[in-house]
Amino acid sequence: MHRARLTLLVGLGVALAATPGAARAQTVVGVQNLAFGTVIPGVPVTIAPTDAVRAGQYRITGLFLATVTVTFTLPTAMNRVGGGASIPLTFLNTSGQWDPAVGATTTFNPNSPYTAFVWLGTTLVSLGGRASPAPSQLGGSYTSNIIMTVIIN
Amino acid sequence: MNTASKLSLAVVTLLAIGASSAQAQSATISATATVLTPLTLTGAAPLAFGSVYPGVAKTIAPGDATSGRFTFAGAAAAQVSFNFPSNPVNLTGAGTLPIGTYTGLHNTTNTTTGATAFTPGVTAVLANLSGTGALFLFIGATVSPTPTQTAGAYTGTITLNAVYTGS
Repeated sequence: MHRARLTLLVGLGVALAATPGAARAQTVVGVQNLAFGTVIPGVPVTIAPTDAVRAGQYRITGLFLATVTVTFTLPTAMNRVGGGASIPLTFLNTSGQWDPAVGATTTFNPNSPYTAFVWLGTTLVSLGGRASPAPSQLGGSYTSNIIMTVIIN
Repeated sequence: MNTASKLSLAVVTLLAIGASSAQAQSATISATATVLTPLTLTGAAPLAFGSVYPGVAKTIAPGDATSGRFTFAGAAAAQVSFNFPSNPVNLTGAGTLPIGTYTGLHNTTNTTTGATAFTPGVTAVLANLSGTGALFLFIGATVSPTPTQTAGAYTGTITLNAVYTGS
């Protein structure tokens, strides 16, 4: 029985070593755009990270017992497709939401790096923001990219 | 070192090896928005009282041919809030020609038939643009010249403010 326990322990150790945070097949993907929808000139629009439909979303998978740090490359404006105008874009200190498979959902400031420990499973990162079109904002479609980088320690 | 200790060391070593490196990954999403057509206001026709007699009040109804007209152009079906911040406006020329209470109608088509009445003034009025983004205002008022009103031309400026409400 003693040998069996040791064998089990070794087996568990090998299994864990084969799948720690840095060695597993982690994936970080953008799954949903931060969509302000139809915007009225002169009327600011704020989207909360809890908005399941309009908030931007990223999914981190494949982590196991890993400390991760997420940083965002946040645009200061959305640019009009075809040029000629932009809409100021800001992110509040509560615009980020960290929703792990294990543990509590927390709000964070996406303007600064955010570090958290991931036990296992899929983590959903949501991002809200605020668009402030001018009263004379030129009509049309506006867009910009938001990059999230995840450093897995 | 006994067998158990060796095995434990192996486990710890394997865990340490597995957790020793760091890596970074990135993903990109877009922030998107569609901006509606900006709201445009046009003073389409002056509120014209024509000739008036001293001591005889004259009323122009919103539906009269010489009523004042404003037109809105903007996003289809969008709600707007508008008001007249400086009303009532008295006419000036060779003296002052007082105007009493204004009257108004608004409609999504360029006719007073079926239009909605409102009172022009500083209090904001809500209305929706048509499916093609249009709204029409018709403004009337009563001018009250005094019996000793000096003859001549009198004019005044009626200012309309409007914004989208976002609804």
